[in-house]
Amino acid sequence: MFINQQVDSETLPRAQSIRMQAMAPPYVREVMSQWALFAVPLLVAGVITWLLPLSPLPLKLALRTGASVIGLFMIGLGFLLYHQAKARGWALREHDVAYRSGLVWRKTIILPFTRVQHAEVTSGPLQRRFGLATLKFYTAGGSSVDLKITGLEAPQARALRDHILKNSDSRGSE
Amino acid sequence: MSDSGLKKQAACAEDWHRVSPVSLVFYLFRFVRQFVVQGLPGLIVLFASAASSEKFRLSWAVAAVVVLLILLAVIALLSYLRFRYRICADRVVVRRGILHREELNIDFDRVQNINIKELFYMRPFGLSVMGIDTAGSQGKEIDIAGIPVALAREYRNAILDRRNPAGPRGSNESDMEQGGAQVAGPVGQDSIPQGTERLLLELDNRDVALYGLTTNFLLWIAIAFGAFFGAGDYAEKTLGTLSDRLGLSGAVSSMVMAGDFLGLFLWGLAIFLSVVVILPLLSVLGAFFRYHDYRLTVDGSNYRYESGLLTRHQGSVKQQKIQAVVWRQNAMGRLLGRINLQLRQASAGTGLESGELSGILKTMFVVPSLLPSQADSLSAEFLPDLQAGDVKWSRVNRRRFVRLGIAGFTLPATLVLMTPAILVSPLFLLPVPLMAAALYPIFVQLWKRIAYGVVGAYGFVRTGFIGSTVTVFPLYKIQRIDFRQTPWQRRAGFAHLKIHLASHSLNLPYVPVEDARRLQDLALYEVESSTLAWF
Repeated sequence: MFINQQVDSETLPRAQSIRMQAMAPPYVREVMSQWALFAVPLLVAGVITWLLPLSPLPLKLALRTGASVIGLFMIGLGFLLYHQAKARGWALREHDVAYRSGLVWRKTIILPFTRVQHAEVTSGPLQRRFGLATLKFYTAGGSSVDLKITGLEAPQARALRDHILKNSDSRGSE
Repeated sequence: MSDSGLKKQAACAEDWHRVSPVSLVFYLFRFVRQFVVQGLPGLIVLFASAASSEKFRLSWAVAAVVVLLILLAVIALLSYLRFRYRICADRVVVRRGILHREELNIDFDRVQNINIKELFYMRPFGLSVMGIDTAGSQGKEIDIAGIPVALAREYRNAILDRRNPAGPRGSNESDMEQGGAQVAGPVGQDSIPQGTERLLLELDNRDVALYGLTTNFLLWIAIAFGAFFGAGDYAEKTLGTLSDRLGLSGAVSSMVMAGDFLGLFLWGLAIFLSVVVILPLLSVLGAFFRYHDYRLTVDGSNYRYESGLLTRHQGSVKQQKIQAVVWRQNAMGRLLGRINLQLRQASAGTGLESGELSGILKTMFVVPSLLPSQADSLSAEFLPDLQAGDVKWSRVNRRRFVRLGIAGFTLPATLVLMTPAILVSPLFLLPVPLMAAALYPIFVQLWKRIAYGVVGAYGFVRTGFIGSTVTVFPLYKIQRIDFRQTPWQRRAGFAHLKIHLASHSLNLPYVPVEDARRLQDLALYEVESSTLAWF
């Protein structure tokens, strides 16, 4: 790529070398309990169709195939969610915050503190049980959330928010 | 925040103003428009069901329409009576609303741009509509309708310079209070004395006609149509959304582009077959309504344009608020050697993602119908130290771009045709290779246009099919960069980059991974080492 730049692009801080930190340990448990909340009843119902002596053969076959398909799907989904949660990571640098997500389509978002318009910390009922919180950052231009970090420990999320907002302010008034 | 806010509240000595009764017409047009746009489908159903019943009488329908109009007129009257504004030392305050009453406070700092529209029915009275936009949430923009033009201009200059409109006019040296969060623009720009307006560009009728030919036809028809409605905002927005969906969008992920192309093709066919002559004519007409007697001037760091045949439009933007300059040249523009420039500002929604383009259209500042040399010199004017001539374009990966672009079409087609192919005959799959063969040159052409580069402190992204759209943006104004890879891309060494500006977002698919990382690192370095405010 052609770069006509005073700075030596070889000595730039490398985003590639950021060491990402995994999400808080309870996060995987939270994701899995969320999954279990709707997967377990379905799986139990599926097992019941195999245990019950159903009378007309077509009905029995249809129910059991259906249950198996749904069951396999749920198990696959659980597997995917587990690894997705494991693959998430975040890192804090001096001037920006980085967040990596995605299992197949892996995405790294780096957000400079100075571009943060406002931030919010939210936590749902399940997250609160696990002491977790979601940190959302909004930047200009987008009407939706621009960076959403799920699975932080609640105190950590608040501290991170305060740190980033403090830095975005101090830089803005320079 | 609340403390200083209270102090500010107390500091406003200015009285509440009311607007001229002429604004009643503005409100009436607005409510009729809103009613028609929102209620039309329901009305049609109602009318259809009523007309089919035996007891239907035309006189009733007429009476209903009359009652409705009276109702709308009353609403317009109440809106007019409720509307109050005052311009304080550092903010604009507006009170409005009939049932849901609100008071809006807009700090001068947050104002992105101010448009003054002299609607044709206001011109005889020397009145105008002053539209104040912020980068904040949508629907919180302010329109002050029925304000004298001279006053509106004075307010605009004061607000954009962030000085007290009640203070001494014409000089802004020290009456700009340096509050805690006051942001200084690029050094030296605020110290340029005001009141020295310099003409940058004037368009004659030929230029405007050429603009009509080199811009999107649909948009112009909408605006020509909208001119009868007063401002034409709504039509401009809807049709703008449409036309942007069809192919003028800045987004270039291959899927989006492929979709755009199909849309463009179908529309092109329809347009070509039905009206080859009328549409360009309407388009030129539309351009005349909007851009007749176009003048672009600069005063200090404020750029302004004024144009319009019946309704005069005045737009303005401060240099440091320009997020990107877009050079747009469609196939016709290439043929005629003209380029249209857009100055992009921060918008409440980036639009393409949220499907909300009204923000973009509202915050777009167009410099139409330029010769390439003019486009170059004006770009250098808008973006200091720009050396656009030095850009060397880097390309994305051709094989991947073309292959995956085609796959985006052929795979779904294959899936659909699979069932009849298995059940009836494998011949059903025959269209797939034909489709691929037809798509190949198209994607090669799209690939030829996609390019990116960096010169000095500016980034360049080019897209297009026959024509091209080049976005030039200061690297330090980037809001965020997303880096995305699929497992296959990871193995082959490519990545998708998405560059988010405050005005819009740019997609770069299949960029060599080392380029993508360098671009990301460089942009972050520029953003984080810059002390300039991005807005």
